[in-house]
Amino acid sequence: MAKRTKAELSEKSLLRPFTIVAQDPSVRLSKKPLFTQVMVPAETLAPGPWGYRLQVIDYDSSTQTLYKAWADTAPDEGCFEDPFADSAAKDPESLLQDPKFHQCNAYAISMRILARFEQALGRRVSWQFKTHQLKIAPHAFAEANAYYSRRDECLLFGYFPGKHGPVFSCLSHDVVAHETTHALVDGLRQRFLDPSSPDQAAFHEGFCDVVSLLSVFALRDVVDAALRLTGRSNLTTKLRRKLVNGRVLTAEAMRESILLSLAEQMGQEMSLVRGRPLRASARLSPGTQYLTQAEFQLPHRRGEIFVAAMMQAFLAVVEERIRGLSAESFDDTDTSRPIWLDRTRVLEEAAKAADHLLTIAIRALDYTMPVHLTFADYLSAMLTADREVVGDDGLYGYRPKLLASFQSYGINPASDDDESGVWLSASKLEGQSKFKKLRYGGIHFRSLQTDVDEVFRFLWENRVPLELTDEVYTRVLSVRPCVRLSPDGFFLQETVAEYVQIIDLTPPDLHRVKIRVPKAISRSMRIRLTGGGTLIFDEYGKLKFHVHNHVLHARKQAERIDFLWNNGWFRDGRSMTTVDFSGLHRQRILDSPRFSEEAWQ
Amino acid sequence: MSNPTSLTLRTYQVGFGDCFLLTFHYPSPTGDRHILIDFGSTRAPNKLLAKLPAALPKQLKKQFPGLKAPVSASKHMELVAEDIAVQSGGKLHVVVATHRHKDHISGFATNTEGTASGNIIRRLKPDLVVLPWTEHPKAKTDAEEAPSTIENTRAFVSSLAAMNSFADAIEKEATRLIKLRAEAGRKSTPTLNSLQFMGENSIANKSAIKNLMTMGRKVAYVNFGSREGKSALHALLPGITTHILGPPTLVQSEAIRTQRSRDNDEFWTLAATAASRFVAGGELLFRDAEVSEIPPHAVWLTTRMDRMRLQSMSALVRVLDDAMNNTSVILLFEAGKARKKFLFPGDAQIENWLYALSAAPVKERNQIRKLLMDVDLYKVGHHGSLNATPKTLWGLFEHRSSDVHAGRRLSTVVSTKSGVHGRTEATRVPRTKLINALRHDSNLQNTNASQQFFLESKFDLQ
Repeated sequence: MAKRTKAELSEKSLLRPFTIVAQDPSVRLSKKPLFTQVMVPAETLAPGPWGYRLQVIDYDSSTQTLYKAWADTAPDEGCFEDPFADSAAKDPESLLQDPKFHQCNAYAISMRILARFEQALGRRVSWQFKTHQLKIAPHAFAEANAYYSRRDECLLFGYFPGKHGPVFSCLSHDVVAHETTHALVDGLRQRFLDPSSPDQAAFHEGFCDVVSLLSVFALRDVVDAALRLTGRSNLTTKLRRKLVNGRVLTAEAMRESILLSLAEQMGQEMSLVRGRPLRASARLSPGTQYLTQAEFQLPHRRGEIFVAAMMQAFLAVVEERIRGLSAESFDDTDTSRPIWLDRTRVLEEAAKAADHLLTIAIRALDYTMPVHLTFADYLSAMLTADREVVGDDGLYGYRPKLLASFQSYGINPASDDDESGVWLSASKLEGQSKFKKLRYGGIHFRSLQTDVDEVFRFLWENRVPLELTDEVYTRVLSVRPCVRLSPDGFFLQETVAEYVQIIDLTPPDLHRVKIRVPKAISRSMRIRLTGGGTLIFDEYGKLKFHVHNHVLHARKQAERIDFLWNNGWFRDGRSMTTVDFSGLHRQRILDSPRFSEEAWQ
Repeated sequence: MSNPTSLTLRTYQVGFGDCFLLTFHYPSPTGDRHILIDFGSTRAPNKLLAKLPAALPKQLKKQFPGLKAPVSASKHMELVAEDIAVQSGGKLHVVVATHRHKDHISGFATNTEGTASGNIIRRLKPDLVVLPWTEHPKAKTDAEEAPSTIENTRAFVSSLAAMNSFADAIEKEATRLIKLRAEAGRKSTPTLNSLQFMGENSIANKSAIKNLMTMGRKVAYVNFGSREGKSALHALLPGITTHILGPPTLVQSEAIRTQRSRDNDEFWTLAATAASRFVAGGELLFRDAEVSEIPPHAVWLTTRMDRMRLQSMSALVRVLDDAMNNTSVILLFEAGKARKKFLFPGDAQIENWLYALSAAPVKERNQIRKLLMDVDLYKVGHHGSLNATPKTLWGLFEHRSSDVHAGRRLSTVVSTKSGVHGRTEATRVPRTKLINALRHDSNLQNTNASQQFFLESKFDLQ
C-alpha cells in the first residue's frame, strides 16, 4: 500500500484514509491477507463509526450481543491517520479477528461506494427512507446471508463457520459494495423493487454485481494480485515482474485469465453468501439465446447476462487502452513476438477503464424511467448518459463497445432513434409533425430545479405532448439538480425529475383499454398498473429527454401481468410487495425454482 | 395366483400426521395382507384424546379395561399401535415410511422398556419395510454408481442429515425463546410456534429410523421405477402391481437437487453449525472482545434485528421442510381384477412429482399419466398443503365428479389438523381452496372433521 503524504492527510483535506481488506480474507498473496487503503469523505466520526450518512451498530442478533464500537481519535497534528495501517502491516491475522476493524471495514467500503455514486451523479444521493443515516450491522446474525433492508434502514451482514474459523461477510469488499449499491439504487429508483418484469428484478442484482466488480478493478492492488496469481505461462513477466506481455492481454484472454482468476478468488468462501455470480458471468460466452431460456427467467440467473455484457465491454475497452501504451503494432502476423508493456501502466489503464465505465453505469440511472426497467432501457440510458458528457465516441469508444457487447447477448437498445441507441431527445421530438410543442409559459426555471409542484405544473401543462394519461394518479417523486464533470473538465448542469402514474383496474377495465390479462384472474381483482417517466432538463430549464413508460401501454402491461401471474402474483389477494433481498439472496444460493402454477394459491 | 377381492382402508386419527392401514382381502388360503403406510404425529388430536377411553374401538376397550382419562398423546400412539396389531391379526406384511418427518414416523420410535408404539409395531414382524433411497445407509459410499453420482448423492444425503441438525437447533432456540417469554408473562408468537413446530418435525427421529431399518425381514430403499422394490412388494401382495413413482434419484431428476445449492452442498452443514453454536448463552463470536449494553438509540434497530433473525430462520426451515417432503416415496397400487388404483404420495411436492409427470422418458411418462387418470383413491399429499397436490396431477384424475352419485367417483382421504402448520393464509395447512375442491369433486374423508379413533372405507376390487 502506498503511504499517503501529510498534505493528503491534512485535517483540511476532504478525504481520510482507511485500511480495508482488498477482496476478502481468503485471497492471499505470499500467504498473507491482501489489504489496501481507500480514501473516504473526511469527517470526525462518532463511535460506531457513526458519520453523517452511515451508522455502524455492531449487534449480533444470534447471540444478542452488542460489541463495543470503534471510537475515532482526534486528528494528530491536523491529520486523519489511517487507524489500522500499522496493524495491517505488523499483525494482519489479528486484525482480521478484530471486530473494531470489521466495523471500520464495512463503513469504509460503504462510504467509498456512496462517495463514488455522488461523484458520478454530481449531487448528494438520499436513502429511500426518511432518516439520513443508513445503519450497518457487520455481524448481524449467524447465517450465510447479507442483505439490504429498506424497511429496517439497514445493511445486514452475516457470519458463519468456515474451514479455518468464522467467515465474515462484512470483510468481503464484493459483498459490502453489492449491498451498499442495493441501498443506493433504491434511493435513486424506489420502484425498481416493485414486482415487474424478469429484467427489472435481475437488474438490481446484476447492477450491484457490476458496481462491486468495477470498484474492485479500480483497486490496483487487487488487479495486480490477480495478474500475479493467474500463473499462465503467456502472462509471465520479466525484469523483476515490471513488464507484462501486452500481446496476450486481449479481451478474450483477460476474460479467461484475470476475470476468472478474480472470480475464483472472490467466490471462495463468500459463495455461500452470494453464490458465484462473477464466475458464472465470466463463463457466459456471448449468445443471443439466453434471455428466452427458462433458467434465465430467475432474477439471479438473468442478472448474470447483464454482468457478462458489462464485463465484456469493460475488457474490450481495457484491451484498446492497453494497446495504446505501445508504439508497436499489435496487428502484425508474428503473434509469438511479445510486446512488453509497463506493468504499472497496464494497471492504471485497467483502473481508469473500470472507473470510467463505473461512472457511465451510475450516471445512466438518471436516464432510466422510474419503473419497469428492462436491460434494453438501461443500455439506451448508458449510451445517452455518456453521449451527454462525451460528445464523440471518445478515444476508446466506450459507447460502441457497450452497444456491441450488449447486442452480442441479445440486448438491443430500447431507443430506435438512430444507430447510436441513445434516447430520442425532446428537441427531435418537437421536430416531428405529430408532436405538439412543449409549453414553458409560466414555468419558473429556478423552481423547476427544486420544487416538485413546479415540475408537476410543467407535466400537467404538457400532458398532451408528453403523452401522459390524465385520468390516473400522478405524482412527482423527486427533483434533483446535478452537475456532471466531463472527462475534458467541462461541467454539464442538468435537473432530473421523476414522476409516476398509478391506476388500479379490474380485468374488464383492462379489457376496455386493450390490456390482455390471464383468464384465470378474478374479474373483481383490482390490478395495479404503474408507469411514469424521468424528465431531464438542461441548464436553461428546457426539456432534453423524457424517458418514460406509458401507464396504459397495452403490450408492455399485458406482458408484465402475464409474467407476474405466472410467478404467483394476483392470487388470493397477495399484495404487490417489493422485492425482499433476504429471500432473493437466499434463493441465489439455494437456487430453488418455483412452480406457482401447480399450487393451490 | 389369487387376486384381492376388496380393500379396507383405515385412516387413524393422529392429529397432524399420517397413519394408514391398508388391508387387502384375498380368498383363502391367502387371507388378508396388511400394509402400514406411515405412523407419525407432531400435534395430538386433542378432541379425540378428550373422548378417550370411551371412543376406543371395542376390542381395545376390552384389552385395556383399566384405562382412565385423560389419555396422553404418547399413550394414544401406543393405542393406535395396539389397534394396528389387532386389525392385522398380529402380523404386518409391509411397512412403508414415506419420509423421515416426525409427523410420518414418530410412531416407530422405541423405548428401552419395549412399551413404546414402535416396539409394538416391531412385534408385528413386517416382511418388508419400504424407505426412500435417501435413507440407504450406503448412500454415502455406494461404489457401484458412477463417481459423479456418488459425489452428488453423498453430498445430498449428508445435506439432508445437516438439515436435521439445523432443525434440531431451530427447535431448541424456539423453545428457549418461548420459555423466556413465558417467564416474562408474555405469550408465544405465531412465528415462534411455527418455528418450534417445523423444527421439531424435521429433527432426525433417529430411534424411529433405526427401528424401521431393522424391524423387517427385508428393507427396500426405493426410488422412481425401482425394480427391486416393485418385485419385493409383488411377492408379498399377489394380484397387486405397485408402481413406485417417486422419489427420483439425483440422476433421474435435477429438480429435486435444485431444492438446495448446486454449488454448495455444505450450506446446510454450515447453517446447522452456525445455528447450534451461535445462540444467546452459547459461544460468542469474539470471545475476548468488549461488549456493551444496548444504548437507547440502538434499541430500535436491535429489536428489529431480533425479529428479522426469526423470520430468516422461518424461511430456512421452510426450505428444509420442502426438501425433506420431496424425498417422499410415492406408491400407486393397482389391485384386483378391477385393477383399481390407490395413490399414496406421502408429502411429495411438485419437485418430486416432476420426474414422473414430465421428465421421465416419453413412453414411461405416458403410461404413468394413463395410470394416474384412472386413480380411484388419492391420499392427499402433505396434509392438504398448497403445493403437494400439483394441479397437473389433480387435472389428470378422470374420476373426479361433482355428482355425488357418480358410479366410480374419486375417493380422497386427508389426514390433517388445522391451526398447526402455516401462519398466513398463503401457507396455512390444510389449504381451504384445496379442501373445497376435494369436497366438491370427490368423496372426501377428512380426519380434521372427525373425532373417531379411525376412519374406515372399503373398496370392492372384483
